[in-house]
Order: sequence, then C-alpha cells, then structure tokens
Amino acid sequence: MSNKPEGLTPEQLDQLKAHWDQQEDAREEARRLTWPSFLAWLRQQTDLLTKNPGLFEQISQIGPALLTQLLRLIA
Amino acid sequence: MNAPTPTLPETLARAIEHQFEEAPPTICVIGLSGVGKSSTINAMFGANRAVSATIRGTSRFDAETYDIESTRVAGLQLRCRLRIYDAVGLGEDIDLDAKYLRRYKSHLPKCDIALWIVAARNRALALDQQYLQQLNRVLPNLVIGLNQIDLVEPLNWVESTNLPSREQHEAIKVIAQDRKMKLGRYARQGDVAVIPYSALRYYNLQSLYLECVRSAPASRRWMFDLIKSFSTADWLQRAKGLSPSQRQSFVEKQEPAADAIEPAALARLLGRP
Repeated sequence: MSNKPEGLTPEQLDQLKAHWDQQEDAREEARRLTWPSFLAWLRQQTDLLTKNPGLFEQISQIGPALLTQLLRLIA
Repeated sequence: MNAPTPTLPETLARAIEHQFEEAPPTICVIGLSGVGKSSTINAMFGANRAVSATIRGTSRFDAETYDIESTRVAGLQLRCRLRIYDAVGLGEDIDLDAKYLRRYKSHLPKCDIALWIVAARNRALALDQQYLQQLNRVLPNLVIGLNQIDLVEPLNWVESTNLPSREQHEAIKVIAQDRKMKLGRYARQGDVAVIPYSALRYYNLQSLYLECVRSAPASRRWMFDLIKSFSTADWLQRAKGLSPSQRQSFVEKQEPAADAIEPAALARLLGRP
C-alpha cells in the first residue's frame, strides 16, 4: 500500500497560487476599467437620471466596486 | 387596472437591456481554420449555452447575435446580447480570398474588438501576415491570442496543476515574442499584445479577457463585463492533482473578499435608511 500523500506537493501548490494571483490581478484590472465605462454610460441616460434624482451620485459613491455586484442590487 | 409602476432597479435593468438590444458588444474573430475561434468565444462568454439567431447572408462572413442571460448576476434575469462576426473562409481558397477581404473591410469597422487567433504550434505565418497587412487599416483595436499552448512541444502539459511544464513555459515565451514581432508589427495601434492561452483548459483566459477589455472602446467596456462567463476557478477546476481538501482550502484562502459593497452605500442605493 502506498503512503504517498494525496494531492499536490507544496511546490506545486505554490505554482498554482502564483498563477491564480496573476489571473486575479488581471480580473481586477478588467473590473477597474469597466466601472468608469458603466458610469459614463449611465451619465448619458438622461431620462433615467431625470426621473430618479440622485441615482447617479448614489451609484458613483459605491466607487470602483464591481458592476456585477451593483447589478445584484437590482435583482 | 393600471400596471404597477416599475421600481428603480427594474427601470435600470430595462435601460441596460435596451442598450444591449440597440448596440450589442461586437467581436470579430479572425483566424485560420482549426485555431479554436469558437472554443475561445464559448469559454469567455458562454455563447454555446445561448439561444442564437443567425443572420446568414450570401457571403461567408456571418454575423451571429447571441441572446445571453447574464450568468454573473445571481437571481436576476438580465437579457444581454453579443454579436460575433466569424470571419470564416480566409485561406481556404485563394480564388475567393479577394472577395472575403472586401467583406472584411466593410464589416470590421463595426466591431468593438478584432480578436486574431493563431495556434501556438503553427509556424507558418505567411497567410496571417498577408491578411493582417491587407486589413490593418480597418482593424479595430486588435488583440492577438496565441491559443492551444498546451500543445506546444514537448507536449508535456502538467495535468495535475493544469499548467505548462517548465520546458513548455520557456518555449511559449519564445513563441509569443516571435509572434509579436512577426504579426504585431502589422497592427495599426503599434504595440499589440500577444496573449498565450488555452481555451480548452481555461489557462490564462483572464489575461486574454483583460486585453479584450483594454482594446474595446472605453464607452462600451462595461457591456463585456456583463456577459463574461468564466472565473479563475474554472481554470483551477481542471487541475486534476488537487485533492478535495486542497481544492477547498485553496479556493477559500484565495477567494477575493474585496467585491463587497459597503452596507451604507447599498442602503443609499436602495433608498433604505
């Protein structure tokens, strides 16, 4: 019977973590780019903003949080 | 009886959907046969799971509009769209290439992103170079994707970690540099990124997606975010060597916690005290 532990070695886990971190940095960077883009679009929705005064300020105060998180609010 | 007045969230959701209907985000996917154009789009946007309506003209240059229910928004039915111009045909028949190129030139300016895909193992770049040279004036915001890097010599992708082997890693760096020199120089925007990835294994897909977002017109980047349908966990899931406990602890440790919105901001948005 083998005593070999299951799973990856610490060195392999380090490799995995390094790539995960790099990918998560890329994901965050993409999100930082999409937030101002969404705000710029929202600013153009004059009907929506006229009928709902303060909406733009409320949303923009959330800061560079995630667009997807924002949309969860409207679920 | 009057219909109930839509709430603010509903109104916002409808405005977003209207934007997707009017002008869906549009990608032109270009590449010779077999480089993985469809698998790349499917991995990034889940278009294979969508109901599609095909606008098929008399040409081989087809636009497909996918209705995508955003999978990123839990509990919300938000109908989004993605338009793909799949530039098939190039390189199949030299007699037809001139016709295809004319059609490319007319359609490419309508696209937000031109995603040019080459297979990492393919060293014959003359056709790609020739087409890039002819199209570079009309190419919007080019991204070059180097797909199928798991098939780079010596073909010893590490299945247990879903990562390239050390030898492949070195070879991929050399290939990416080479393709940047040989293909990137034809790009209108000058310094074009060449992103190595594997659509099949979800490897480095976040990097490819980031480059697509960077290349999209600033005013339309947010639309791509809504239809993105993968996460880093999709790559990790394919690392076959992780034991269940390692997988669990890895995701728990690594899961970003910074996505939460401040409760006060949430309350303000919902109009609650």
